[in-house]
Amino acid sequence: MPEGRSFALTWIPAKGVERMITVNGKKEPFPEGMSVGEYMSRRNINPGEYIVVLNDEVIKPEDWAETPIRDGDELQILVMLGGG
Amino acid sequence: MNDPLVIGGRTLESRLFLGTGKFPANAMIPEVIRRSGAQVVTVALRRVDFEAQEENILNYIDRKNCILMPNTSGARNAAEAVKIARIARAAGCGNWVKIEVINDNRYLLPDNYETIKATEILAGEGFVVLPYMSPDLAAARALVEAGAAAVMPLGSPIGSNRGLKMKEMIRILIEEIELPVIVDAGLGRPSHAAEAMEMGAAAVLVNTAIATAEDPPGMAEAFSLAVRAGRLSYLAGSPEVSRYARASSPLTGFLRD
Repeated sequence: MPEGRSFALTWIPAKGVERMITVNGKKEPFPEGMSVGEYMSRRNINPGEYIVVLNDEVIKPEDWAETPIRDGDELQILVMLGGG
Repeated sequence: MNDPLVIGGRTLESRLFLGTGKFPANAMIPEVIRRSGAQVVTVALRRVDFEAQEENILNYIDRKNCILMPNTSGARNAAEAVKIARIARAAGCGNWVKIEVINDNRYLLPDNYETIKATEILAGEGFVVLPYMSPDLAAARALVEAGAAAVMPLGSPIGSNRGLKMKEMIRILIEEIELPVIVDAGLGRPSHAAEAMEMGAAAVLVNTAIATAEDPPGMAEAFSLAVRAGRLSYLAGSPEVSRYARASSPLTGFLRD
């Protein structure tokens, strides 16, 4: 992706093409061919900052760039917080 | 004192386990861990709230000196607990897990049946499983069968600071269960922790009482001393309780005659 270019989170798919993913329980449209790494950089999330789970599988930070997101995928972005 | 607690193949010197929720600032946590002496520290897994700019608590926990114990809080059944545990392990949090399955929002009491199911699955996958439970002997025996590394009965409801309300039931677990019995939840003061340890609990897990004290590091140290005092008392063997007085010096040779 050329430098400086970014997709708004409200990216609208081409007419007649419904590509949606679920992120932390909320549906959102997404552009075809995007990787986990590209999605995270749009969210300004650095590798290793949060835990990424794609369809119940943890994606390690080193694999973010090569892991594609597909139509209907469920993405969870998780964090370890204080707990008892 | 050479009195280690061995759980899941790890030897622990400290019998105070620390929860990390509700502290006024994460930056305080390293000092709290240091003064508590805790070697087992619990954390929770949540979805990121993008509005809240949440910090990763692991930035404040020195894992060279602490075993991380993610909990499965938020799980309402065994399947959800298993899923959380697997994610935490795959994300590099180690293989210890505190099973916490709760359906009850008012008292946050654990669901022993679902907890047993989750324990069996996760122990079978090589996790070191420490289940949070209601103190019930049949359930504790089932957890032993399921492969738990310890059982963690509640002293009173989570965060209530009410102390060892379940004392008599926990005493039975300590007598009857061969695994370490770790009193988890409800201990509101160091004296409550000492009471649990004097009774023979293997350890206690404390969060709210420390995190919400006026001086959390100070309270962490107070709990550490209380746990140690209670343990020493247990090992020293408490003497019998008597209804009547028993003089400390001979009742002869008085100077009055």
